[in-house]
Amino acid sequence: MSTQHIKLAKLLLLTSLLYLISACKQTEKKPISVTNTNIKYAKGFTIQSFKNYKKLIIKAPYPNADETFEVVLLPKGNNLPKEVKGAKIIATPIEKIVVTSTTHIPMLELLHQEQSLVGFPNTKYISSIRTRQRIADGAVKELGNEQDINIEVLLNLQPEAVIGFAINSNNKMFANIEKAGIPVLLNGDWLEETPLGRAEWIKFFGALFNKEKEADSIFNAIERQYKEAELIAKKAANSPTVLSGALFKDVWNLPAGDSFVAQFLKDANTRYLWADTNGKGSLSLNFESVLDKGKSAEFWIAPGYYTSLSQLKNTNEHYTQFEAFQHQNIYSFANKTGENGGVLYYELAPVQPHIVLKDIIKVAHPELLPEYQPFFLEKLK
Amino acid sequence: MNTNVSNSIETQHLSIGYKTKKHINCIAKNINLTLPKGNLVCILGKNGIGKSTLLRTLTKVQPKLSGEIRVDGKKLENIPNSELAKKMSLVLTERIPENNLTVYELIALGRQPHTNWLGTLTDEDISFIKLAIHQTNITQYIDKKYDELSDGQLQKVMIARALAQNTELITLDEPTAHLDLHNKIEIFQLLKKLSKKLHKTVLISTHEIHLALQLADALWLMTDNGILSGKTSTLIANQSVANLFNSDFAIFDPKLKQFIINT
Amino acid sequence: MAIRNTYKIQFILLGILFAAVILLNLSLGSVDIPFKTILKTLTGNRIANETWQIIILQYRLPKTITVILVGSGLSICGLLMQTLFRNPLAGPFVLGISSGASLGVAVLILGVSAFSGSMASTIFSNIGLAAAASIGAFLVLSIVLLAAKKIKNTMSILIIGLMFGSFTAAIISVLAYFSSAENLQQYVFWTFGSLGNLGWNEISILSVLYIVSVFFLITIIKPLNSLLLGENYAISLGVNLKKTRTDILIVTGVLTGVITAFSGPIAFIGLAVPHLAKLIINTSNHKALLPAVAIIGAIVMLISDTIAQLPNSAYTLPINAVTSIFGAPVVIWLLIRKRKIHF
Repeated sequence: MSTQHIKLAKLLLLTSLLYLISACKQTEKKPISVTNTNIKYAKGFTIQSFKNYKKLIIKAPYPNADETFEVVLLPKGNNLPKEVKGAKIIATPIEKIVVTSTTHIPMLELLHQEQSLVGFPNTKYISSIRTRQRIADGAVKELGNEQDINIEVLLNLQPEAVIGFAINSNNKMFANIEKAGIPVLLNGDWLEETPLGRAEWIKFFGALFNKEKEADSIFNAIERQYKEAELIAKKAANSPTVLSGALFKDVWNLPAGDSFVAQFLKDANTRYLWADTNGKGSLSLNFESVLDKGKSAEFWIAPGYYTSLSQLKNTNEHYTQFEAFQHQNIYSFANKTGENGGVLYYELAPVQPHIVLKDIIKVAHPELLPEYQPFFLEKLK
Repeated sequence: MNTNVSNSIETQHLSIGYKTKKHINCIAKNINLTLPKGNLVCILGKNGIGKSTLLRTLTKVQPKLSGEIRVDGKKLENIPNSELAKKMSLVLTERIPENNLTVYELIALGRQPHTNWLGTLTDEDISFIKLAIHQTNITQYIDKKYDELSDGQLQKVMIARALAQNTELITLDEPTAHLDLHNKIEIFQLLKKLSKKLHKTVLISTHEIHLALQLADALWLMTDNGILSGKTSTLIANQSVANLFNSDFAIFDPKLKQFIINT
Repeated sequence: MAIRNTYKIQFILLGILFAAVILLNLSLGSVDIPFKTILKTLTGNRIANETWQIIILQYRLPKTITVILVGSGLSICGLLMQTLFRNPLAGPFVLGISSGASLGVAVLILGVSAFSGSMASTIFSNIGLAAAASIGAFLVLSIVLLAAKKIKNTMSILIIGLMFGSFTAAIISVLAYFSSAENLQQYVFWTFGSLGNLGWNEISILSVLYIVSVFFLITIIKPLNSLLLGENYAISLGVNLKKTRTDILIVTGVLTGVITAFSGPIAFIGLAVPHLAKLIINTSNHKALLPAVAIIGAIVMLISDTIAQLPNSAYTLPINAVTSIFGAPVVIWLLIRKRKIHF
């Protein structure tokens, strides 16, 4: 073979390789015809992609639900396919939306969709600065109480969807909103068992705004940082014991073993003293059993709504019996508030689990994250 | 009105009293009485002897202990309320509940057994009401409200109500307790007239012994040993009346038909 | 029984007031809709703003109808209770009916979380709030009717009803103690009463029951009037006391039960409106009093609901708060002015 032949062959090979690589990339970019989109951690919803539309399936709209809800997300301008006639249809991208939980706000903002918010119940609880500005400008209308949303104001806004949340199947209010022609989607992100599962609901919002790609990349970044932090935590020499919760009247409420907070504590490589209990919510225990188990806990994380040591002591002298109190190792999410007094943790934590995790790691294993400053967690003084 | 029966009320071996789950309190037993139609009969006796109990038992306000009561020939327990209401009317000692009715409306209630399902008053009903008002002489306060009446006025109103009911038998329990002497006499005379002229049967339990002795056709005297019944004149003559209330303080004078106080 | 004074003038005035308050209730709300537009929509014309049409016809109109039925129905029940028990403090809730309904709802909302995971929660999760409330209400009603059959003394029935109220309140407090904050909040919101959430189905059920009850009550006006003289005199006038008592209890139980099931426990109206009616229509004769109570109850409820809507604001007051806060002082003031309490 002559040098020219070899050069040509190399060129051909290179071109073929390039073509193959680009073709593969193209295949990745091509929308998946009839398969589920990749939901890795969230158990409460899935999204199915079809040729001209998507189906959003909410599997757990409220606790112990035995029914699922399906919504067809039809891009505006597309014709309604025959096979979904009679289904609940939402035209995407949504331009006017009403949400009902402050945790939905950061997800809208991350997707740069905060301007689509037209109404919210109890606007005073929102901490986000951008949205507070829109409220002040009158772009976000007050809807009253989330248990008793003002139907007239809502009807007047004519949103394309209302994102609600329910604690059981008794949803007279939402049923009435639907009867008035406004679709209601029940968001079950608060029922997720894992922090990443909860954060993955950003893809739920992404689908509503035709911004699945952005949602995916945002979530991937969150996942990556979370996993990295988890690995770092594993390097710790020991797992400190952790106490949580506080008394309300005579009952001590603390996170159960499968709860959100318990997950964080586990992933941060700490030994939460109630980690082997069952339940995704909180446990109601009496003071004696908590003191018995948690007296020598090294750290006390998330003591209810308390924000200072003196507040704890004044409410109940018995709190001082915990070693974590005596060594001043109590850390709370409640101190970080927005301009309206709303606790930032409640609003932002679901979509920033990696930050929550790093906060806990910093507290439990300060040597592992030397330059990191906690965002949500503050030491009680 | 059953014209074959000559007695308005008949009792046989009647026992009256109060029954609780634990025990039976028998006030009087083995009572055999008859109340002839068209008669005015007074029940007399000491306080607490059971006059009211007897009257309430005979008018179905209170259940009997045992025995039989017949009204107009039929057993009392077999007569439905709606039918009984057309046969007998009552004047009780109990105070009626607070209400906002006018005297006219109160009396008009006496027509309930005769009116239609809605209680509408026909001209006949209205004429009975007017008659009762006239008979009891209360025309001047028929538009007054119930709570504006004195005890005496109220008593006359309740009598007028019973009269408006226009029944063959009228039973009254202490109907003149709150009335002054003039009104007492007026009422007793009215009742006497009703029995004489309109052949109504009137049964009165009363403390007005002197009026009773003068106007009643027969008396039922309740004593610790049972009930003595008979024509007034007979019971006076055989000392039964005297035995009822004779004491160190007063003696009965059969000629004057009065108890005279020992001075 | 005669009505010497037919109270024509009062009824005409009440009728005018009724019409006026209906229009008021329809025209005031959180969203500012001009009165002309409302009239146009109500008379069947299409209007430019479709949203407003939906608000008026799908939200305000059913709400107004509900308010009328609830206010009227509860007031009638209150009058029946006051006549039967001869007690000016009686209201539709003395039989314990609303306590029963509250217990049904409490078991559904609070009990599910307290007994989470048990059989009860699966059974209950398929029953709606209205059904649970109805079950509770009718359970209590059955017990009360059973008691009424066995017990001669009418006052005892009143006490039984009151004891039921205490008993169910105790059970509810235990359930509340063990339930989560969200469930508790949902239950508390139910107790606030809600008139705006009824669908046309429920309004039809309520209307039918109301109309049937009213027609039935017309047939017992006569014994009701006889009862004014007390039970003994009533019997001597031919009243079948047991039947009349049962009739009153059934009508009150069913009407109160259904109203409570659909709108939650609405306080104060049943108790106060009969007194208000007696101040306006100065009689005890049920021939005049029943219609008076019916219309005045509707008027008072319409006014209360209009206030509760806090016109032109997104927030609303719970209807129970309005009926009690505004109602109680008004009744007190009127009675002091008239200087006598008679009923």
